[in-house]
Amino acid sequence: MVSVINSIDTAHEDMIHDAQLDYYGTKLATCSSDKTIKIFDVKDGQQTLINELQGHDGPVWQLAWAHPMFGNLIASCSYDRKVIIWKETNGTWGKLYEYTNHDSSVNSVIFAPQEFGLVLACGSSDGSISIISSSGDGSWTAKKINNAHSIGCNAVSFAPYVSPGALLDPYNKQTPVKRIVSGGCDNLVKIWREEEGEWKEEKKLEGHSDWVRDVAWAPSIGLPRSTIASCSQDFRVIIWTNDGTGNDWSHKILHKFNDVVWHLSWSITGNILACSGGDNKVSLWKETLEGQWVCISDVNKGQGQVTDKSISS
Amino acid sequence: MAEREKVYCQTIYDPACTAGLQSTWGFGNQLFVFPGRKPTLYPENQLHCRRLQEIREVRWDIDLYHPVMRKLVNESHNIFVMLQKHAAEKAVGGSIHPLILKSSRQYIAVLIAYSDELKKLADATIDEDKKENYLDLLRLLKMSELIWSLCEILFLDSPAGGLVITQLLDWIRIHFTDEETILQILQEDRPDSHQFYWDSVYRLVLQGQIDHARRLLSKHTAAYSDNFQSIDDLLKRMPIFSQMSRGHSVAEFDMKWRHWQDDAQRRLEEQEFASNKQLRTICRILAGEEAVFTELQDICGTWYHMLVSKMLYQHPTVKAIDLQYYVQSCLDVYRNSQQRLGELDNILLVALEFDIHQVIKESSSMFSNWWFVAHLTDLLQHCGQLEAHKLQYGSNLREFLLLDYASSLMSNKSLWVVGVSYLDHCPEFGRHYLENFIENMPIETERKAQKLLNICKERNMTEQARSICKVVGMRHLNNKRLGAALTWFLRSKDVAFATVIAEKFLLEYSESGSFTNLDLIDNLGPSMLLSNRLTFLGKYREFHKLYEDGDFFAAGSLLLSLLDSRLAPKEFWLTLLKDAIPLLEARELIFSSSDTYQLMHCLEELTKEFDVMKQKDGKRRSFSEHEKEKLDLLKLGLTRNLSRAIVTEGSIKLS
Repeated sequence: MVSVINSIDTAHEDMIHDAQLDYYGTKLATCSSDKTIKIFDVKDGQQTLINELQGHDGPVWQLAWAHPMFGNLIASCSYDRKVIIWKETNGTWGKLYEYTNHDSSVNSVIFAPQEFGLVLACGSSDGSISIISSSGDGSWTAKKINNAHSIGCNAVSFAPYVSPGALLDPYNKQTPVKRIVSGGCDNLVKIWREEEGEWKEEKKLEGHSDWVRDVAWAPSIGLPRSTIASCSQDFRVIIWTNDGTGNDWSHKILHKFNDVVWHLSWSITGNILACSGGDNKVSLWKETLEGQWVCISDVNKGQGQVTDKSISS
Repeated sequence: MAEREKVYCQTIYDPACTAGLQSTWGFGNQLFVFPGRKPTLYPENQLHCRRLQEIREVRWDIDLYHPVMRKLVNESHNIFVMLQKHAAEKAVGGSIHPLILKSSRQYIAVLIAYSDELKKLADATIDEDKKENYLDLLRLLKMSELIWSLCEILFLDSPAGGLVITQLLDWIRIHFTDEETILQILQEDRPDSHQFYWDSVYRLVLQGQIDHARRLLSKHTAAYSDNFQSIDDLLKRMPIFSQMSRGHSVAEFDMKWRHWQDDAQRRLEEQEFASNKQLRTICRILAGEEAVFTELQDICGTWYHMLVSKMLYQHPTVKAIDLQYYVQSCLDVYRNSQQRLGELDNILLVALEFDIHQVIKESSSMFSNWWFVAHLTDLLQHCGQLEAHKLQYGSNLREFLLLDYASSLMSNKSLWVVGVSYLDHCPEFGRHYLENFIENMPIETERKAQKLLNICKERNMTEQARSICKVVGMRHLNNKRLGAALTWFLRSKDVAFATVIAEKFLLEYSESGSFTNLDLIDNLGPSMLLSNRLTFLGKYREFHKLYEDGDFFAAGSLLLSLLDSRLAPKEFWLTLLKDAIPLLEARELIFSSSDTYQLMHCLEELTKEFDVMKQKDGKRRSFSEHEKEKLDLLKLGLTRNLSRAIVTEGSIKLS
């Protein structure tokens, strides 16, 4: 049974574009077209506004929390072409770093797995992706992938950290590889990999027939297999898988929805995918024993009461 | 096969926005849902959105978080762990079957115990909502128990010759006995005047509770009449195939049974009970007459009760596998009434058809938690009832369900520990699930951190342990509790952060002239070797101690070795050299001439470096007035000491 436990009035004055829980699920950060970022304490069923961050000059599209070992850090990206990294010290939040090297709206921001250090990636409407890293002494360096997606990049997601060989051959340790998946207005999903400090396109995944709106690399459950989910304006969600031995990716259409799918997110163990979008529904999908993806839960907006419905599979 | 065909759907009424819905995962079965959507190419001015922007916390499968259910989770966990342990031991040799059966009975006992508790709670509660909640859970447990018991009879307990009637009767008795009514009847002055007297007698007979039936009949005012005596005689002589009579063969029992039933039929034909309709009904049951069961459908109540009653009087030697052939006629009886087949009926049906996978599948979708399927599947797997049902990426059904069950426990602040234990018993993915969960587990207190660390330690999860120490250490560092922070970084052998803290300690010393957390620094022991800076910190503190104790020679040689070995960071040399001044001025000669040369060399090196830096960047740090004064003092001390040393050494050489 699905139930709404709490509701939080964010008091944002315009549309919310993202809400992200910190690593431990105790703080929720939200961002909105009203240019602000708000941070709520959501421990034990309470919801208290603890901070409001102002600093962007346009709608704030997306947020990301850094791993807590780096302290309390949030990265935000906005229509104002900026990426801001915010840091909390003794309860007050301030700007730690501002990245202004994009020529258009920055649509997506995400931190790399903590094992790689303090690294983040962002994708912009100018078609490029930036990978920004902190050396730890307060200086930041950025690498840019130009023309990653023509017309624009809508989403970026990091591959989980898996030490290569750790699964198959624990004695053959190489440096772990950083990988990013991105989705854009060229209807493509692309995988990038870092090689000797440079980012190279490793794979181009063709399957969508309209803009790709979100991509999400699934957390690793210790298999060589990699899984990526992508969603698009073509109403489809595609699951891409790689068996970990080559550069071949196979794909399966999870579902064709009735409207644009805007947002994807994996559960902590990567076994359930939440899809949401223009049909005002959030649905949860799980892979069955036969490798089929089935819907297990649904939350939707509209009139009505709690209902149960059956779908055949 | 979809493990869950049923889709749970929750609708939220919110006119705030129709532009779309988004969601973010929480920990475990938790989602945050809010209106809105991803970036558009331009900022939209959506007036219809300028309303309440609410975020909703949505959870599912959380009925196990109820206080009573938490107890059930904990107790069943003990049974589960016990079974896994014994199964691992027995795998080497010996039969595991009695163990499985024992565990199954224990699970059922737990279900019954908490059903009783819930019933008591429900009866004692006045609050309507709470009562309803208790009753919901009670229904859930009752259903679990009903299905589980049948599965135990069919799949786990294999009675001699495959005969199941005794077990089935027990199953029915537990769920359909109305003891209260019987007690009421017995308390009446004239029991047979009670409105449910005959219904109760019929029910007892239908359930094969012959002794009780005879007792009730004996309370009838006409109990000593001929026809009552005749029925009593029949009941008394009814052959019972029980565990006790295992010595007899089935054929032997069958013969006895036919003989007895022929007798019942004969008495019926001879109109022995023509004068008493009720006794005649009883005799018709005993004779196994088809029509009488339909007449008594309200007393059976359900098709499965009727099935068992019919089996008792029509096919007492039915084998488990053949039960399914008699189901339809029972279903037909109830189909005519208003009752529709529910989920529960379907599960029992597929169980009777021995379709174990379907039982698990349908149960998965009926129960709002994974407790039932996870534990039942585990048992079935252990007794080999599930042929390896491989997941595409290589895990079997048991693990698949256990993972789900464990995951549903992880988001509860007391049950997560139980979840961890279940993950331990998932050989394929358990560890990786646990790693992911541990990484994201909220660390509210040091105690929790310690608990998590122990979990990591027991399982050799070094990465996760390091991450926990780092997080807690960082937290202390941000709150300026250097000592506590260092303790955590030492625990995870975190070189980088131990260095950072050691530097902070040194900075603190050079600013204030004293150390905080002396206790910790004094007791670093071998852990100081983790980082050079930390070693220096420890050694430098040792120098202070030696100096305080008046052991100037040891202090002096330690100071020298710190400089000489380059263990001391450059920016600290000045402090060390300043520390040398009182030693140079000591009454006894502490530094030999070669020692003094070394000190002079260090001073020269330092001064040169400062000059170089000054040339490169005028603004860079140069010696302050105070420092210059100290340096002059040092130079003076060094020269004086050198002359003393040359003289002393020279004099020694002379003699």
